[in-house]
Amino acid sequence: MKVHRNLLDMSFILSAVVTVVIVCVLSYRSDLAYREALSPNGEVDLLKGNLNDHWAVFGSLSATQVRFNQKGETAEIEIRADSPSWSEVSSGVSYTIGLFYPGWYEFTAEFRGEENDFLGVGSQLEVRSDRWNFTTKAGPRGGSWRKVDIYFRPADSDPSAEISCRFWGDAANRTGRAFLRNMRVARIDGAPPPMAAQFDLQKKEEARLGRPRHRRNGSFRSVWMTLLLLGACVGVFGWLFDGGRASGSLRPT
Amino acid sequence: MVVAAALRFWHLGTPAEPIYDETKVLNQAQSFLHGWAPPFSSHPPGGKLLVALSVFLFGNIPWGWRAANALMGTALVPITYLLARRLFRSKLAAAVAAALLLCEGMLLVASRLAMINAAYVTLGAGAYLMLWCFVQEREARTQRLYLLAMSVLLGLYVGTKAVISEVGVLLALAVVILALLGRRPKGLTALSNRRVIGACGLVVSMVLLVYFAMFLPFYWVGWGGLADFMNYHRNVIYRNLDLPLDFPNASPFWSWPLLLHPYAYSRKDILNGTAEVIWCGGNPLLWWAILPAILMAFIRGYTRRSLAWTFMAAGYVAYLAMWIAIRRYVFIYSYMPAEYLGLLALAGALEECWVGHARAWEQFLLLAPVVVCLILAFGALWGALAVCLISIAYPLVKRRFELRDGKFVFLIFISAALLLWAYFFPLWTGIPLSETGYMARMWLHGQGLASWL
Repeated sequence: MKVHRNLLDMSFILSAVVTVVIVCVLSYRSDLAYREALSPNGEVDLLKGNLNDHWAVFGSLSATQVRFNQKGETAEIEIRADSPSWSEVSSGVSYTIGLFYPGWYEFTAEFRGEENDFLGVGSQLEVRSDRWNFTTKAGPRGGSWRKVDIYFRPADSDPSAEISCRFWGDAANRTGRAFLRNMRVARIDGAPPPMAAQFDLQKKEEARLGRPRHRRNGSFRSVWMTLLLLGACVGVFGWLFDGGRASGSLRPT
Repeated sequence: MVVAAALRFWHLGTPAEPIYDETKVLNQAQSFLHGWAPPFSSHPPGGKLLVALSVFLFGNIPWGWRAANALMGTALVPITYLLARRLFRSKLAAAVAAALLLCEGMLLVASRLAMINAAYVTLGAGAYLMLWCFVQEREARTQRLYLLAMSVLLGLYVGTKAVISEVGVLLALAVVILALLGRRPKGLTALSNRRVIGACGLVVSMVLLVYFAMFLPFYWVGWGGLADFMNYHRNVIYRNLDLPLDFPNASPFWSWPLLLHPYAYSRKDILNGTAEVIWCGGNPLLWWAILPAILMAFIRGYTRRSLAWTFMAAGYVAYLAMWIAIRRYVFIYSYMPAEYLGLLALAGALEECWVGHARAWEQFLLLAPVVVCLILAFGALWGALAVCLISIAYPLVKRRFELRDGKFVFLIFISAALLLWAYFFPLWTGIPLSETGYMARMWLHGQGLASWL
């Protein structure tokens, strides 16, 4: 009877472990599918699909104060600020994308601000990855399309990029608009063209933290000596504990 | 275990970017993988080495960053079940402890992020389990094995989280000494003296050995010898002494049990009007019920001369009291090791309700947080109405099903904990919520310390 019960217990535990493994595998597979969906053919069009589901608002602007409309190939961001706080802190809209394939990426976009002195609202396009920021400004007298084309290799410690359109203003209740078109992040094979604007963030990270020094000098012996000493202590105290063995149970808890 | 895995691995890859302290941990993990000098961290490298291993095995993707922690968080549930069985010698108490752990949010969040919190709590729990195996073992040789296993786990615990883990070591040492001396009620004999010294020496030297060994990767990337090891620790102490008293989202330790100042690790306001929030807060019912449970644990520990109850109560107090001496900003997630012992005590208190050993005032104290949650969730009027309904239902249910008072309290409490878990689940997993839905869950939103925003 007891053997049967043990077998039953074991089978329960085994099936639980197997189910946990299946859950892990399914989770991993579904995440891979999600990753593929993020970058089909290594390219992400940031102005495709329902923009309101992909872009987020940050700073003091709320979702109700920002409208993101798509008109053909051009997307229009309009802010209708009605509270003073938005102009005091950094506010705007952003799109965060995971860049999980190691290597170089190209960011391209066309950007135009529609602001003037009367409206008093300026805007800027930013690409941020890890500690690095690329910014191009438009306004308050901007009006023509600006083309942005940059190459960057994300650092392994933060393989993502945040593309944002920031607004600023000299008064609280101003409205303003910014236009974006042909906005893409694409993975490229090999290195970028030599004359192009490029940022190797992985290299910067390596420079910041430094290469391994491998100082295997005499003082390294002290480490092994310490480990040996502690190991010896474990042995001696273990012997001391076991050497004083006694029978009988501990008091019940 | 299966439910724990499902909760921890579901949509583990979202958010797709590192959030909060994940950036720091990933930075360290990547430097280990590349053989670079790791950037400064106040905590030993255990948690970061685990994340580095996870990235090495599963790839540099969000799922890969977080998988090892999710596994640790999953393992915490069966460990808790086994530990509670040892502590209370009851399958029901063990099942309740595991269930409470599943209903707790802050531990869930910690298990779903590439940070160090889930790892050290699980290592601590594993060490406690070995400790109680040691205490309840009769065979001296097997006892030594448990002691060794406990010491290795404590070493990993100390090698993952600074300061908090040392309290765990002291707690374990105290139980080991009491358990060994308990066999010789008339005081120290030569034999017990030798065993106590042997056990304490074994624990301390093994903890130091494992802790020291965890720094070996630092030697590979550039440290020269023991002097660098000492300099690192001096640097950690000086830097922490220089830190200010206050910081955004920081809160004093005494406010943690009251859940006064949880905060969002990340918040993304999507333009469609929803918000994706990862909230560093717990299940309010469980947090608030821990306080009476600890009081009961103290009383039971004293009146029944029970080492298990005293362990939970004293451990909880020790994990909180350690912060009195620390003069730098601290965050609510540092409450987790105390909370873990509190949840165990709560499971024991609920089990005593079910079996009919809990007294009336104990049952009342356990129901009080349910009432507070009802009022905060539905407002004073509807909350009071719900309390009245429960009060009316109580005698009816009792008469109809011949339930004992304690069973009614148990069922009400567990049902409320499950409902609140479901209610707050989107906040712990980043499921999009409308602004109204988000604000409805922010029960405290004042200007001062009592704010969940």
